[in-house]
Amino acid sequence: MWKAVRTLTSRATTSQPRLRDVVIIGGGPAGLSLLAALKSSRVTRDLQCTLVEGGSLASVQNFASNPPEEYTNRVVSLTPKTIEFMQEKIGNWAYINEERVKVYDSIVAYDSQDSDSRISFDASAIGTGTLAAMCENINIQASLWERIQELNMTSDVPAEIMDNVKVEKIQSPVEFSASEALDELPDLLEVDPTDGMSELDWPIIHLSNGESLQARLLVGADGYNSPARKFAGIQSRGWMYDRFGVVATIKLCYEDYRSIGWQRFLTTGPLAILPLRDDNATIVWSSTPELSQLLLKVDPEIFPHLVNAAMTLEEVDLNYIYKLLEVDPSDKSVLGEIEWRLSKIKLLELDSKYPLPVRELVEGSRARFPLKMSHADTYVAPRVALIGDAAHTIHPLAGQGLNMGQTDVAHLMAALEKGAKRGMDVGSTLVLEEYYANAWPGNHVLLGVCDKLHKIFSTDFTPLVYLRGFGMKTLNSLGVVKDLMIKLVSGN
Amino acid sequence: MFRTSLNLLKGSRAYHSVQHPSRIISTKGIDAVVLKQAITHIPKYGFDSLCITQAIRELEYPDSLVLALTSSASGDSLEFQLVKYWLQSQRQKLNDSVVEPSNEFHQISNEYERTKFLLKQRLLYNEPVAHHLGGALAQLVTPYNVQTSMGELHALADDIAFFAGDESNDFAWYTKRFGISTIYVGAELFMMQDSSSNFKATYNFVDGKVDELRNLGAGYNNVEQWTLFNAVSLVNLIKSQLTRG
Repeated sequence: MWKAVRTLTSRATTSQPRLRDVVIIGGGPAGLSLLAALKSSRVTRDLQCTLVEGGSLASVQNFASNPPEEYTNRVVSLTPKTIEFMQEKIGNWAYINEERVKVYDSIVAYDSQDSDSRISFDASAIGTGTLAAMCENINIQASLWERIQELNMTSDVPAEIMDNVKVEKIQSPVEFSASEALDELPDLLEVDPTDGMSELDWPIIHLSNGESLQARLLVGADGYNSPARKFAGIQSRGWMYDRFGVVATIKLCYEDYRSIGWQRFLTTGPLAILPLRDDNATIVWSSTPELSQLLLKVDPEIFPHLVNAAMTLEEVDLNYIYKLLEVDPSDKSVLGEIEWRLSKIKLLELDSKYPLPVRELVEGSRARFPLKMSHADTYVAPRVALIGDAAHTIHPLAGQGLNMGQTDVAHLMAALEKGAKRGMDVGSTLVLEEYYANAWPGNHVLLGVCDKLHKIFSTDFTPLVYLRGFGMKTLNSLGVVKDLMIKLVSGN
Repeated sequence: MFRTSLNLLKGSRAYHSVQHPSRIISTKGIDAVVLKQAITHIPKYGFDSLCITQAIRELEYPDSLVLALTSSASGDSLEFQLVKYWLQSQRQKLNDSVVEPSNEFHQISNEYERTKFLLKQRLLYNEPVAHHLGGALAQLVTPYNVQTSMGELHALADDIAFFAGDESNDFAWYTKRFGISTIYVGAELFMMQDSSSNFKATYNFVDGKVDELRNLGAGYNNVEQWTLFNAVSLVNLIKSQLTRG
């Protein structure tokens, strides 16, 4: 009785939501990848899919025809496995602007306390010629966009992308109130008079443009503060690192032909210089909150020298330089201090052991973001699945964030394809749980490894410094173990 | 300081009531009057019964009044009663200064900085008698006085932790008080032999020790957080594999 009244009133007040098979919240690489993968697969391409993005995707749409001259500061690393997935499964690699992708065949990581304890990973170990590829986030998004447009041309059920539309509320149509549970004991013998017309348990998504969608499967690709995760009542656990990642686009003195990515572990956090095409490069500098603030306000002319110093000098010297800059962020005398200290290092050593010097900073490319580790308790709930940052966030030191999102997409796709082939409801937990079972353990291990690396390298406690130096040197000479690590990290 | 991250264990109420009275010593009573006068002589005579004799004379009481103290119910010696009264009156002084709204203490918001301030404030009261502290400690550690002394030390640590803003009511409650007591005793011993001007070295000692406590607290929290995360993760891992059926 009450049920009928409630249905009547709710129908009177709101317009009927549009039914969709899959609604994806979030137009980042993870969300777009899933959409493109769904539409590429022969089994799932007839599902009605909608992607909702709160921001504007205009820059993504324009990227292919009119790419910006300077590199954007959000650069991600792709493992060979991710590239393979993009080539074969999603098919967006054909649309990627390869002019702006830099392939690495080696990565060198070294310790700030002892620059001789270093480890270099080489691609020859896995025989693919590629260890990782650096690529702008927007480049990936644009290629996915192009791929979706291509699929839409031939598809009977084109994918729908709505940008500049925010999700205002996610609501479950079936709400069990306590009074209802007490009042109405379910009559098991009663025949449902409206066969097939009973209430759907599909979540309703209210959008800021007044429309509402009701989804068989709601996919949350909506980042760390995921509304979809909150709707599903899934807890996410982890901690803040009390560190900020500072990113910037820079210019090197000349093009680095070595195809090497560099990372130095400072006690304030790792600093990576990742050369891109021509003389471009990007840096990711994890630092303490105070240092990150300093890095953002340092004079743009001093900044490149500061990066050079941080890649080569001792931490004692660095702390002294930070102190000078703290007093006056545009103190030009610092340049002399840095130059004098750099002149003490042999030129040959500087050439072979360290990255190329930085020439200038691209204006307005500096930004910072807080670093955290978090992992959701589960990735699935009835009619909800989480992918990408909504499910897990990771320290950027191993460049695994985007790749983990792609692995999520691969596992979720496998589960959905299997469900669809068997004629099951793709929103049911029976289908989704396979995704949870396959994706969760791997992500947990990666999160743990990166967290431990962060902890080991963020200390200057002497015994530990010796221990990790010893560990790195040993590891560097143990080819077999190293190859195994490379294979794991590159996902082969 | 040491704060548990598990909300289930965290109660909604603090251990202390803010309403409880902060009167530690009574000012009435003949013994209190005599002792109050007597502690003004400590800088001169040290923690000695001579202070009490002098006080009785100054107050123009008959000499036999010393009986009011020697026959006290606690059965403590004159010297120990003097030490105890001195400790309690200094604690009262600290309490009174903290509740004063104009105290600069209220500008400090960090719990560790507040702890430092309170410890240093308490040590400041020791300055006039610093070179007689050995006598007081000798009284305090005499076996039949130890129980009372420990009680007084704990009361001081408890006051400092409370005023610093402690809200814990789990195991951290003990850890904090134990930490503060240890620092205070250490600082007092340090003070006895401190020859620096204005006891600067003692105050630096307190700063260093409280910072160590802070690091310990951070370590404790990290370990707790990590253990909890991994315990929950283990459950999640098992759950994820159970879905395979």
